Amino acid sequence: MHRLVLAATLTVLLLLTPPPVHASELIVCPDCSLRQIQEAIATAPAGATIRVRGGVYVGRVVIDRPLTLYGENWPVIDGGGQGTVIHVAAPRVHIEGFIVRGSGTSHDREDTGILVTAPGAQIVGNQVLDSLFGIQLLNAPGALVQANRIVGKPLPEPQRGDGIKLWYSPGTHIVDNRVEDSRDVIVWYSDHTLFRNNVVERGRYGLHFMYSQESVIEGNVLRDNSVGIYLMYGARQTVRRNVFFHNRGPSGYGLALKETDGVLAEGNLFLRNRVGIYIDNSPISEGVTNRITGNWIAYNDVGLLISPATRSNLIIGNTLLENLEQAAPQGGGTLDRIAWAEAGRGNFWSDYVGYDADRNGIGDLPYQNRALSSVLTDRSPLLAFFRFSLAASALDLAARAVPLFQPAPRFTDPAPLVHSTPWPDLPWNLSPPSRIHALLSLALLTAAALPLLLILRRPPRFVLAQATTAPRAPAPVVLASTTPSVATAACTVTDAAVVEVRGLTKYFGDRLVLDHVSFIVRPGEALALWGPNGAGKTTILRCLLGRTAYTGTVTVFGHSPLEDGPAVRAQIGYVPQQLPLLDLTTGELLTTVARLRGEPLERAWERLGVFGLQQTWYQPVRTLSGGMQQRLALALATIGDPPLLLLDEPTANLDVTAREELLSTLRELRESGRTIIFASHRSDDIWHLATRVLRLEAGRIVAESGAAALPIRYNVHQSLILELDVDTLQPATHLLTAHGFAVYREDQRLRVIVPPQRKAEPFYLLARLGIQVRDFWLEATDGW
Amino acid sequence: MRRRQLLLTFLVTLPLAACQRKRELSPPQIRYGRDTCAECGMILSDSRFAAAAATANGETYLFDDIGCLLIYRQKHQPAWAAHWVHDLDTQSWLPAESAWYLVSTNVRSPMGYGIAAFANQNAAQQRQTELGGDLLPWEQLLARPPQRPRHH
Repeated sequence: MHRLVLAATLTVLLLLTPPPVHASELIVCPDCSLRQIQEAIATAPAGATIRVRGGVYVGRVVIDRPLTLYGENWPVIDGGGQGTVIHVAAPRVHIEGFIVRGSGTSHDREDTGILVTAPGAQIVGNQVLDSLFGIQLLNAPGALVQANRIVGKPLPEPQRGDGIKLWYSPGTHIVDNRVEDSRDVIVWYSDHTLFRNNVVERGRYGLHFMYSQESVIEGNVLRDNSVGIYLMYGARQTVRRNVFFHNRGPSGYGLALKETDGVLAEGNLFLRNRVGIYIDNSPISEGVTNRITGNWIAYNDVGLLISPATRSNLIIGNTLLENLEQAAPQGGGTLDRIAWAEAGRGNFWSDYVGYDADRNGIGDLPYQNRALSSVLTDRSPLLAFFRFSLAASALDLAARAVPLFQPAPRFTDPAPLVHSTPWPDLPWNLSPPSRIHALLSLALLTAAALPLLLILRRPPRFVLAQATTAPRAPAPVVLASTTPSVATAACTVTDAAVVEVRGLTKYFGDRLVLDHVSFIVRPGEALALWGPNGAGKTTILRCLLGRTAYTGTVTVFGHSPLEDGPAVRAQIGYVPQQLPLLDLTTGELLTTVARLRGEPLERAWERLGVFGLQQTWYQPVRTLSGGMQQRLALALATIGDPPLLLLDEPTANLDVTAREELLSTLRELRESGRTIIFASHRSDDIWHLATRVLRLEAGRIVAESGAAALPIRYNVHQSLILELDVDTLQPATHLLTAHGFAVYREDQRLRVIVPPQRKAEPFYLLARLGIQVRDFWLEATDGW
Repeated sequence: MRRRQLLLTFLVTLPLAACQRKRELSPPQIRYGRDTCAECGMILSDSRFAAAAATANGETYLFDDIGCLLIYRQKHQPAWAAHWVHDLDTQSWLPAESAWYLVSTNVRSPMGYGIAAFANQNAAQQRQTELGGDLLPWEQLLARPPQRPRHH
């Protein structure tokens, strides 16, 4: 009986006891019962998880309780161009896996992609696009901002907002993010910030600390910003193992310190900035020292630029390599108040001319910076115009020869190192740019470039013949050449055919990559080899160049590329998919190719101007943008005015603007009469350039047509053609691109590639910005 | 003789007239994204807070923050001939002496001094209601030296 009573009591207790509270999980998707994120938030208990599946959701979203939001399959939260898109107003919110886009443009309201105003937020693995401010933490301490990609709103730089902004948010960790094309990443009044392993590029100030202390900045890459890192009015910051590369905008500093106390800058690389490190009145407090050690400061215009009143900086154990000016006082004066050595060890100066008789690694003479020309430039900055001129060199030589004229040294390193310091442990896998490495890499790169150079090479006999005749007329095309040279005489073409291919077959091992391909190309045609990757397009080009064996018959200008390759290649300009990444400058590469092809340098220089690249003469090819590299490849291919151009995926890896420019240049070449054969898998290339199209699939020609009558595939995307006012074309292009559309400009129109479900979206987006669509129509396009 | 006197008078008075001709000072054209602040060295980007000052001999200085202008005035004391600030709302130039200034920690200016200028007192009062802070004319602003937002 007792047992029965006990069992009944327990049963009743169990029934009356509420079930344990578990954080519930809600699903949001376009076809679910919960279709909007805000609706789910309103019903979710604190601590719940909301899973949002792929689709486009309407912002603004306000999160007013501790929640976790996971995006699955990249759901988009679109702010519709108004205000802030997501506002995190509760503590301990986790947001992960979303595309957040379309904030407003008000600087007064600081419209933001993700705004956090509560502590302990975690913003992880999101893409914040087309937002004035990317991620903003206002009074939100202890946050984690990790692995996000933030792309600024497509506005002129001064009108952009900050990629990441902290405001009174101490203890925040910003790690593994990528920030592109924003204004600054800025940290206001936020101590103990960790900024690690981020990439910030094409902004104003890559990272800007204001009134913040005790922070660590390490392992980041800051490149192509106006200034890499600017530390202002702060204290006790550590800047370690960062790469500062090519920060050359206004100011153009790698690292700048202004009235900042107790900075430790160690093991960083400062490469090709206008100024490597700029120190202005730092430290400002008494009894405090900044320590700058173990850095590589190389190939900058000025390695160290220091305001003359600056003191209490310990600059030791650094490598200053081939900066145009190794260290200079700003506006004249001396740098006597800087400590250049500690415990008998100074810095490595690549222009040191002393010796080390006792082999202890320390130069026996001090390093003194006392060039007369630099002192004069300090006094009259306009004299910088004559820097590196013969006159300036003569002046410095005279001052060294006649000590009477020698100025007092601007500073002295009493214990210069005779060997460079250890290469820092950097986030980039780079080797130190020592002279041996430079020679080695030059040799390797020359070897890498050899195929390109060989392709562009004229046969030596032709060069000699060319040298003895009158200069070549600048007319771009010589189809029926009358130049009395061996090569051109042999390769004279008639209107019959430039290229003739019959039964071209090619195997790689057992794999058939070209299967009895036949076609003819006549003068002035622009033939597209069109097909998906792996269809055999590039292999055909390689066969035409004689760079790979094949069976079948191929003649180019009547000659077989395999049997008479040099004579054939002399008539061909070849544009590879990507230039070999050379350490050569544009000028060096152009000069080399011009000499090989027997073109006068003046003509090559003019050609560079035609392609808008003269300003890159001294710039290493590897630092050019993708579009510029392709234009350079085209400029190199046209040296010597070859009548046939072969192009391999000429617009691959280019953004919209660069692609438009390149296609426009190619159209001009076609209209000037050149014969062009190009491989492409992009249907828009075909529209812009081709006069005839060969469609390839699996190594076979499956169709041939004029470009205007392209065959259409099923499940196609469509082209939406928009006619807009001229002054709205540019902003409309940026806007639609930022929302993921492929946009191509065609005179006064835009061609927008629209997937089947997004045909109306461009109208909505344009209307939101007040851009009027004057007319429109749809065209079918290929889905490749 | 008379003709000579006339010529002499003309030759003497012409340079004097030229010397006495007052130079008209006008606000400078700022190249946003390129010009830098004379005080802090920052690149000028935000026209709402950009300011400028000109000396009697025509030299012009640009500032990214009205606070920078005030600090620079304290450090350097040439004969200042004119100061200009931008109206926060319209972002158009106005003489600094005629503007009203809202000094508030809720005004987020480029260097954190929190000073915004307004051509219209009503507009300034409206913002003061919204953001808090003090509303001052130019003379009182000069008498109240700007404080660094935070010391370390």
